[in-house]
Amino acid sequence: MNELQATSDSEEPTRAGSLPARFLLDGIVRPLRRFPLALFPTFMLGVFFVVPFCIMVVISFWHRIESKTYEPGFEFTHYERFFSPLFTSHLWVSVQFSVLASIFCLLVAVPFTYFISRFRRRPQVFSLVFILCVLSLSEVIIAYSLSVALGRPAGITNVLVWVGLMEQPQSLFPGYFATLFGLSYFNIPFAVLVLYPACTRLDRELTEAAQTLGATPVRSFFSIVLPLLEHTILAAFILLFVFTMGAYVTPTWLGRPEDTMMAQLITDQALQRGNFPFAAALAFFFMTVTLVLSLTTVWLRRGDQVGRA
Amino acid sequence: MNGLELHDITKRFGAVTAVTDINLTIPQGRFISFLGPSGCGKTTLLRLIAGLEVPTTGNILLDGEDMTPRPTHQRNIGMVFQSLALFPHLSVGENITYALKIRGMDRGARRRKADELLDLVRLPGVADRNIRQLSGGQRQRVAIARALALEPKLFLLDEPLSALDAKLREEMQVELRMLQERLGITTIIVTHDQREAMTMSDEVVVMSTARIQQVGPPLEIYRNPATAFVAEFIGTSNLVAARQAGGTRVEIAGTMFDTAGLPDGLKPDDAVVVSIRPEDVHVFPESSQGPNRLPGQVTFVRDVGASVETFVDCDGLQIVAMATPKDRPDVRKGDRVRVELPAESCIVVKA
Repeated sequence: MNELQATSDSEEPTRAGSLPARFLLDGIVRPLRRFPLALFPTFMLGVFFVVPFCIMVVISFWHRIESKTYEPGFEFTHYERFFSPLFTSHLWVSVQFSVLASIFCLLVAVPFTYFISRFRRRPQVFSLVFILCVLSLSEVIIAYSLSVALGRPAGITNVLVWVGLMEQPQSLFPGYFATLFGLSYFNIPFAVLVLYPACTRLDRELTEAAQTLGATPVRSFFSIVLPLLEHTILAAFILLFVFTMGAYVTPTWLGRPEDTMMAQLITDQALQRGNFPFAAALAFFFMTVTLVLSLTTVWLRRGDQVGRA
Repeated sequence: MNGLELHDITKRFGAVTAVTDINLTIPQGRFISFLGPSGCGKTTLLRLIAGLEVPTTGNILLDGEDMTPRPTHQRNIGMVFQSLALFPHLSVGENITYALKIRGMDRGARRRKADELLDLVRLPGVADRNIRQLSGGQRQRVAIARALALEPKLFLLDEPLSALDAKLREEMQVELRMLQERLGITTIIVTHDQREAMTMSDEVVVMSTARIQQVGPPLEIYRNPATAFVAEFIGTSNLVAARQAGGTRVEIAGTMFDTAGLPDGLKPDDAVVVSIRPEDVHVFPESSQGPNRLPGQVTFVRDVGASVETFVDCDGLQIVAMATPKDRPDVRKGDRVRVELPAESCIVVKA
């Protein structure tokens, strides 16, 4: 009773209070008081994420001195550099790769996941375990394997020569399509894992009902399954987009210099050129984009239609 | 022939036999129930007719034409699923006219048809609503309207009323039957509720362990069960082990009983089961005399007002007698009595 009283008392001033104060109280102080265990993750998040993040933001405004050093300051020069052709062209490359790779990945993953979710239990588990195995491979191994598969000495072009479709084996990498292929391939297990729960929640009777009403299996997939998975597919797309935006190994290994993506640019600025303020500004911008997109995912998930009704 | 014919249908899933040796003819315009306990194969049989499963052996004919090789979407059937399977991303009207849209009917005509179908199921004016805004009974009606949109030759329902509460379910049973009579459409409903089957159907197909046990009009099945399973599953029955004793007589616990008749192909001394409905059993004082009577002791009297059940132990044989209050036997727990199993009510089935 006393506690109830206390809660309702403390609520009054917050309503009247300013927005940041309300955020602090409702978002941090009140939950912590109620769930003391949450202190631990909050502490970890603070030490290992919030503090480094703040340092990075501060550095992004510092002054760069040629010869690989920098000194405290407050200037927007690094943010202004975003509008330089070098930056915009690589941002464009990154966005292009991320959008296309996510789309190609979903074109494979959506039908694939839907069909395994319609299997009986045992083949379903087998397929998922297989997918998880692929997930456990590191990006380095995948990129290296693909470079072998796309290369000249032992690559798939040898098969094409053997079949008679090609005159001489040739190397398909480094190149735009090799990079795109690598990025799409790498993301498929993630896409399957995101899509799988929604697919299993889809009631089989829905597609069966569509078929009793005269829809072919293909038509029922497009008119019933896809609309019901719409939000999940969009959420998966954003996740894949964010993942691909951060890709480093695949474009480094399989891409040409003109296929350089954002993460490579940041690494290059920080490690090769020692331009930490610019790298920090890039990273900050990059994180903001990622955060906005992730929040959009959460928001879209709320409108998920599957499993309700 | 007009109607549905099933010839030698068997369906196996791996090592499991879901239905076997199904031979059934359903004339055009009839209302049929597939009745049985869960796992008896009744839903599988309905799905085979719908084309959602492919039979391992056998043929399905509709109006004399073999439907077996046809996929579901070419069969022209309307089906109401157990989960109703309404499309959650479409409005009520769009759900109902889904089939018409596939057939290429234009928007205005679809709209008129949706209103017409909603009137038919007595749910006018909800075409623009979301499925989630409807109650269970209303969704039921929408599912029925959707299944009837193409004016199908066959109307199949898979336990469609099981999600409704008892009162609404009974209302819907009567309504569904009246709708079917009005449209004259051949209808098959799958149910495990014998009351539901008897309320609605022209004929009941009783199934158990993947086979058809008996086919017949509801009262025929109630009065003349073909097997001990049917006798027990349809209503309640006293099942008494007996032995064939020549003519129409059987021997129960050393006493000779006259019966309504014996099934064919019995040899003398074969084991049989006598089935008798509780409401046909009479309880008399021990001193009374007459044929077809067994002595026993009352073990329990259940008087629930509308009916009185007397439980009698006849030397290890449990017999239940049911009477209306005005025919209530004047007995108490522990009394010695004689129960009469009237010859015309003793149905003999093979053991």
